[in-house]
Amino acid sequence: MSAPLIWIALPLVVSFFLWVNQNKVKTVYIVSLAICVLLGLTALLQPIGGILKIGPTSIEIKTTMIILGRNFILENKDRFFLSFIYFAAVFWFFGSRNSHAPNKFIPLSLAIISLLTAALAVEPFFYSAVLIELAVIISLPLLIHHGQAIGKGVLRYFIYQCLGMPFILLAGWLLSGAQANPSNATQLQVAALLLGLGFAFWLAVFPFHVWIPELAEENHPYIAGFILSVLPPVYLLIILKYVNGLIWLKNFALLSPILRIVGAIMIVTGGVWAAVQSNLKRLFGFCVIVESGFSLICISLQTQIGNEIFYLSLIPNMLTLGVFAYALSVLRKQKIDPDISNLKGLVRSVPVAFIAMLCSLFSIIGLPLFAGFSLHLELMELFAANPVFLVWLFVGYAGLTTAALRLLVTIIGTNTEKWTVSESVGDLFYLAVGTCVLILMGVLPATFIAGIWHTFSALLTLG
Amino acid sequence: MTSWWNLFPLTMILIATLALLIFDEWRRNIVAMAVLYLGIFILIVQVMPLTLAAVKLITGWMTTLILALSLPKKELIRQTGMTANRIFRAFSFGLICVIAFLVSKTIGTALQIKPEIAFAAIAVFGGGLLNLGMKFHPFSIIFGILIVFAGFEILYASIETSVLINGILSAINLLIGLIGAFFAESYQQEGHS
Repeated sequence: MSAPLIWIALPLVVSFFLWVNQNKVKTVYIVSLAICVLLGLTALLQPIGGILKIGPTSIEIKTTMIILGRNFILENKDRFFLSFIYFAAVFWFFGSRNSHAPNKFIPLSLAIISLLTAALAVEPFFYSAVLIELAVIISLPLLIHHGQAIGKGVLRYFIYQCLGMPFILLAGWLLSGAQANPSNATQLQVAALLLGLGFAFWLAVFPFHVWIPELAEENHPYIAGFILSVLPPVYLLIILKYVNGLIWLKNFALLSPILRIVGAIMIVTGGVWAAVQSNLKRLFGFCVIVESGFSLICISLQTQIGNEIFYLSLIPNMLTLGVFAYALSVLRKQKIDPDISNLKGLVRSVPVAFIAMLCSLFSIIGLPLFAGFSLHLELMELFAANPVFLVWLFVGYAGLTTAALRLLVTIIGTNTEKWTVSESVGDLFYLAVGTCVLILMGVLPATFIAGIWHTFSALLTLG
Repeated sequence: MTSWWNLFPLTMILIATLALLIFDEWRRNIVAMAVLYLGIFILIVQVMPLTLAAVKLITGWMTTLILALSLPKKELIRQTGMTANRIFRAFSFGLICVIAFLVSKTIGTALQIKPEIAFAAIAVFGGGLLNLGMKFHPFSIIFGILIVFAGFEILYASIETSVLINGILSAINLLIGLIGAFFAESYQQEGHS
């Protein structure tokens, strides 16, 4: 048995059966959670290339699966991603019922996750673009609902994600040729340009960013949250694969400044736009852009510590966006308009949702005592010698802070309502646990964040 | 141009792309799409195995058929005559063709492919981008993405022979057709409601 069969083919097949039986809501829910917990734990505990013992049976887990002449390879260094993505799936699926996500959410999400895993496993890695495209196409039925108009955000999401694929594939082909003949500078420059364009489309770099807030605004927050929190980390990991896999690109002198500037642009544009947003769903979209910018800056360092911060930030980022999206779903369930002007004093009626939302925002900003703090602090320290760059980052985060403070001031404003907790028990559990973990990660970073790192650092080949 | 007979598929491709760009009627777009895939097949069969090229033609036509069967019976827009809008689109496409002609030789040499293939790829890709930029109806976007991918596949067919990748690219085309059908269903239900 091969690792790709376990972590790619099995969830894909299961997702098909779940799709067929999507009306059996409880069964789908339990089966999906069970399979994701199992796959996450297997990735965490079972070395790839070793022997898996189930009772008297011993199964050798091979690293490679060959399909039509192409290899899908999952090695021990991929176990971090595998456990991350399947535990993230558990987190998202767990809240899907309470957030009133449609029945098709779990089957399609599982298929998306298995395709994204395949995109990271395929060799040569230039071909990951086609698998990403498949994942994007599969995500569309999640965003389109019978009898409802197809929103601009969905269309733009589809267009930009589709446009990314040809550029990445062509760049990959050019770069693979350039590996053999690195003296052809023009070809390398064209390849770098195409690669940059492709990733700019995928990651919603300014000015191709409009679809993210639109997608978040038009769709169920939990579905938009899932898509927007799962796709960017995979794109960033693919960027890392390109950087680590192509010696020319790794040694390209302009790579680091370009990634750094693009990351800063994403943080500044995301933060400044967030400051003037009145719709919380759109604000969520801009938070995604800021998080992607932060990760890009980590990658731009091209050092052990930069990659370490990037990998470590994946977990709090996912948690933050998940809690934020869930809190928005609670507002949707309570039929509360997510426009800030309509939220005056509403902390009295839905307190936990708003507290969770604010904690998420503070974590994204990197305020002390929240999950993002230690990682932001570490990154800022690394740029201590470059104050101009830091000023730009502060502009972006100041914008996001303004948005958070506007929300805070509005929801604590006076109104006639009495203090009640209108969230359901399920909502309270999900939001309270999520918020507590966010705070614990901030208060005890050595226990949580460093603990995660000690588990996986030996598996990841960084640098 | 290395082979004069390539003028025939090139003409087919350019006329089909132009038709997709200037007409908003879905029936005309469907016919143009089918012609575009046929022209592409005649062009790429010279650089890739017949079986793979045939797969691209068949999946292209299947996608077109899916769209033809699912698109609403009632046309959204019915334009007649040569409006200023159409003239502008045709003129824009003409400019793209000029640019494609000017760069095709350089790109052909760089990628070691025939210049007429490079020309067709850039013209169709550019036409698709123009389509995406000028029309924002869900079906037009499906057509626009299919045109962009068609242009890309003309180029990629010459340089990529992997069965898996060509298979997935064909599957992507079919899935886009299915998404088009999904769009159409949503659109019709929205209309009824």
